[in-house]
Amino acid sequence: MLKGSLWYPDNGKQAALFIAICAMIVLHQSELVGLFGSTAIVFGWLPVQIAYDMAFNLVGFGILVVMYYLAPTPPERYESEREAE
Amino acid sequence: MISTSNAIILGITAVYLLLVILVGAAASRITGNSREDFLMASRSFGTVVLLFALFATNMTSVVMIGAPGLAYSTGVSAYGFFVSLFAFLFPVFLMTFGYRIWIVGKEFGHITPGQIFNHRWEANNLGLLVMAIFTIWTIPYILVGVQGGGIVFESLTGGMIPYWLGALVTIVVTGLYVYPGGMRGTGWTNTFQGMVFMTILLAFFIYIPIRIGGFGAATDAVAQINDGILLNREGLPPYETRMYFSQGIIVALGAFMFPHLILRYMTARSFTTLKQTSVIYPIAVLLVWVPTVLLGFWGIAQIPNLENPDFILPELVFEFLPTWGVGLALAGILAAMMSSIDGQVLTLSTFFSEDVLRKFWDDVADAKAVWYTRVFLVAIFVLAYVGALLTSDTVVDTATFAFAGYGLLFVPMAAAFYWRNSTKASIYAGVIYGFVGIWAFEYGPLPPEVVGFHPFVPLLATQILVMLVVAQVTATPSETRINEYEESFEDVW
Repeated sequence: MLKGSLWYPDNGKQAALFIAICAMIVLHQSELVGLFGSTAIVFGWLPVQIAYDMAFNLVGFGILVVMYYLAPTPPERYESEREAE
Repeated sequence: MISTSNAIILGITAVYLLLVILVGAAASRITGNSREDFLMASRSFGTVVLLFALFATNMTSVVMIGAPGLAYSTGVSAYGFFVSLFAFLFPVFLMTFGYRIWIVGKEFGHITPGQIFNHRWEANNLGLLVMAIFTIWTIPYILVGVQGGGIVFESLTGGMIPYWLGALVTIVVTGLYVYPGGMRGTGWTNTFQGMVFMTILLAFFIYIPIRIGGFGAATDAVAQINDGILLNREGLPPYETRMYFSQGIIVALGAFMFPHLILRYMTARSFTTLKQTSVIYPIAVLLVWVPTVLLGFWGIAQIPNLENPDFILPELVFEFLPTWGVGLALAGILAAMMSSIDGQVLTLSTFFSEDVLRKFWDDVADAKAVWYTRVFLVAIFVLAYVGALLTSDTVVDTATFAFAGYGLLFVPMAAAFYWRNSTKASIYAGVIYGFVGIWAFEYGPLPPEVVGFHPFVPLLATQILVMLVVAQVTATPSETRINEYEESFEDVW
């Protein structure tokens, strides 16, 4: 059940995705890029802490797009006829 | 005598509530009396409705009341603390774990998590235990929504609509579209309400700082307080590394395990629908949470010393918007709240009819089951209203406790889909251990944090250990049952 899933990768692409997901959990900590005590403001109004968090989510969006295209094709019986309608 | 401004505010709100009821009525016209249709909308939600059904349900009063309140108390890091990890991990789970939940719903006709637990481990009462725990965690979360309804009505009408009446209106209107429309009613109204609160929030996000003197001026005003302490995480206890990590994991795992969302994963029309919803999800979260956190953050300098930080968004609206804007604000905030309460109440009613009624009383016809579900709906609405009158915690406090409770059901449920040798006894052990543990930390003799982590983190780690040990010495379900699941998940993430 676990083997072959995204959480127990059995090929290079899945392994890369798994590593990317783990890396994101680590990168959630903004101090890793020196922002823990930063009072910098970007664009003249946006505190850098929330700018980092927004960028974090945009990178996450990119990973999800890759996942979308790499996800295994579902078995025929699971793609409902309605999808084709 | 009602003042002109209150009449305008209430008029706009009334029009909005009427529109919601009409959308619900339109959904109810095509909702049949079969269980599959009333409870699951015949598993037919496309990407847009599924996105908003998940998103609007997730964006409760936590986003409109709690998030600005948290930013008002602790600064701009509230976004990263509460939601940025969730906005990434939730869709990852949806595309993997969520897909497997969807498959077993389709393959075996499951509607509730309790049915999945009983079927997967060939148990009789495990599902009932899981249902009871889900119910216990959902009730405070429903209260958060009703509580929020009371707060905004009272605040935005200057006390003309008192808390008890505001909470009552919120409950009654929600009931008016859930009762006839079931799952489809909630899906359609969530789509409408989600669009409304996103639009209104984005409008505030632009309009309020302009009134303050510009985005830069709004931020500068806060930056001057205590050398910019509220611009970052330094010196703020909740934002220390371990607690920050804990909160991110709690929200990501807890929100994925919302029972009202688990049911909705199974309403997707296809895997493509689930995938598309997953990809769009973080952008939708970003568009709502960034404005709401920044508004609370800017409010620190504009309306200092608020006794209850949960009131900051309504207070900003009252301070900076014209009267008609206040009416729109009330409508938008109510949209966020009602679109969560509806799914939660419908889910609990579904639990009672599916996991209790149909399990212990044979031969309950479809139409009768739907009727009972509606009776349960009314009963839960009444209980939620009474509870909202009695509760006094802040929105975020109430929500975090519930999130942690849901999160400790994550591993037991994941075991159904990813752990071949899991046993019924190991799941019982994991579920009970997590439930007792979190209460012991919250109200018992155990400390409120463990070496800097929220108790959730050590509980999660030890819960896995407990389950592994128990699984070693107890029997697995039949090979036939395990193979049924294993075959369903071939070539599936």
